[in-house]
Amino acid sequence: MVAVEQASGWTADEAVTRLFAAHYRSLVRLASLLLSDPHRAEEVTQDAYVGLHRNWYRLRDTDRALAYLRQTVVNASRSVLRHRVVVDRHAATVRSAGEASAPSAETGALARLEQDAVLAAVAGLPARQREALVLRYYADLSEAEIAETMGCSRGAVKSHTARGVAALRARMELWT
Amino acid sequence: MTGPKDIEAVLRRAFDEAAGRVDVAPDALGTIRTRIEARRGRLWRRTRSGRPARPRHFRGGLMLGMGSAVAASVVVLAVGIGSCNNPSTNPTPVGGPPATATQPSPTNPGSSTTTATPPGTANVPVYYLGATKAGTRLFREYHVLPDGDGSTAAQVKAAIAAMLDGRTAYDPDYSSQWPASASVRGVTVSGGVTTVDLGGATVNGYDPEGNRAALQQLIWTATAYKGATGVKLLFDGKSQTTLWASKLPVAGVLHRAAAVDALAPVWVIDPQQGAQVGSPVTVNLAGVVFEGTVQLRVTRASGGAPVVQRSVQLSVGAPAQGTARVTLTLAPGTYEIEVMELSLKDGSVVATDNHTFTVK
Repeated sequence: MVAVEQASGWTADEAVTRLFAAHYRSLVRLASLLLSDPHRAEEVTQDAYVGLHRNWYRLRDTDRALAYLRQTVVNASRSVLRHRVVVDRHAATVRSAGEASAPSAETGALARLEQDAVLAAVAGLPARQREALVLRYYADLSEAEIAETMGCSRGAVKSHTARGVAALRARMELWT
Repeated sequence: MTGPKDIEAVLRRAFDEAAGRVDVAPDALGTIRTRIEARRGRLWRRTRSGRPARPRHFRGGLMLGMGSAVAASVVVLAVGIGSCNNPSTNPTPVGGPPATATQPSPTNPGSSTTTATPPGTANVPVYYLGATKAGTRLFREYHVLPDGDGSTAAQVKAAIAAMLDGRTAYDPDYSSQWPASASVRGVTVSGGVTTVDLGGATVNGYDPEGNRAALQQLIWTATAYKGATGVKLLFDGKSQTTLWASKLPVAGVLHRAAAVDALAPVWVIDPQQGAQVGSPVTVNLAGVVFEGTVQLRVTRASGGAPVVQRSVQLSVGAPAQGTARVTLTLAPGTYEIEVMELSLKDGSVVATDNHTFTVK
């Protein structure tokens, strides 16, 4: 993490370069978990950096800048999903489940199977529940940070997380 | 039975593993920089050549004094009658906009309504350059400028003086490609032909595309009044056959290039960059786009999901410039409005224009 006092002197170009180095990959991965589409995830993340450059005069410190990038990525992913045709999403879920069930002799194939099934189940959750789970268990954000990123209250974060976990548990019990 | 701890552990593992499979494009930073450069366009070039780019928070600052002096009298303009609320003037549209948008001439959208301006000033259209995927193209802003004796010639002169210096643009994405030394010595208007006498304008950097765009910038600005047909250019009082090292022909009467070649594919006309407006907000858009379909998006400046996201049908499709008026009810706050042309092939953004504005 870069010190805030350094950040305040950055130009927008420097901010983009440094925040790219520090966070780009993890943001793409975050978006990819939300979208199940690495290509779109990368586009959405690039949009966020272009937006960061445009809004740098208002942000001016790394903490706010990172929060901005995260928020923008989550919002953009949400709107991508909203526009994605339901049929397509269903097809994607079915496809990834199909890949997961392909036989494999590798060690850990069973774990991989379980992970893919979990990911497919996460992809089937309502957007807010998926966001809450990804931000908590992938990005390791605090409840307050998740609330800020999702633009909702901490109470809402709690309930999205709880519902998401409950829905996943219900599915996992079907498999185990 | 699967406990909550197991679920958490499984989720963490699954997310980590899935994320680990995602790698990023090797040239991602280059792609981002290219897109940023496309947005800023010529602003960088100007900065590199030693003229400082105006910091964003200064935008509109030129007009501060004028904004506080908004008077009650109404000037109905002969030139550049704009629907556009200047960022610094109090946008009290007298009588309000017409209930239905009249069909404006394709090359001068937004000229269908009037705006009250302080006495001694006029709301005139000024063309600036901006980068688009198709190259350097024209964008238009309305500026409230002192108009001297109030004649058409005086108003055109004021518009050109503003145009020569790209730093007068409200939108930091817009600029000018005229040399810093250029000034306007005089303007006369006769029989639809504007004669513009420029000083210090004969030397400019060699950039055929930028030079051509700069000349169009001047021609469009100088022929924005009703009945205008063309421009005659004088340099320090004398006519020339060609201009700059790129040998642009400038003898005789010059005319506007076709809209599809000269203008940026999409414009946000109202609200202008930095405008302060009341709700409901009148949004004026224009575009030279296939079948006249553009996407409109309004987002709070603080981020968050778009407040408005919809497609808008312009009055006509390419090659003419179509216009549309949309009325939005917005809560007080600062917003970013963006109009986009999307690719029919893959839905990517082909062209965009955006402004930040405030709803009081």
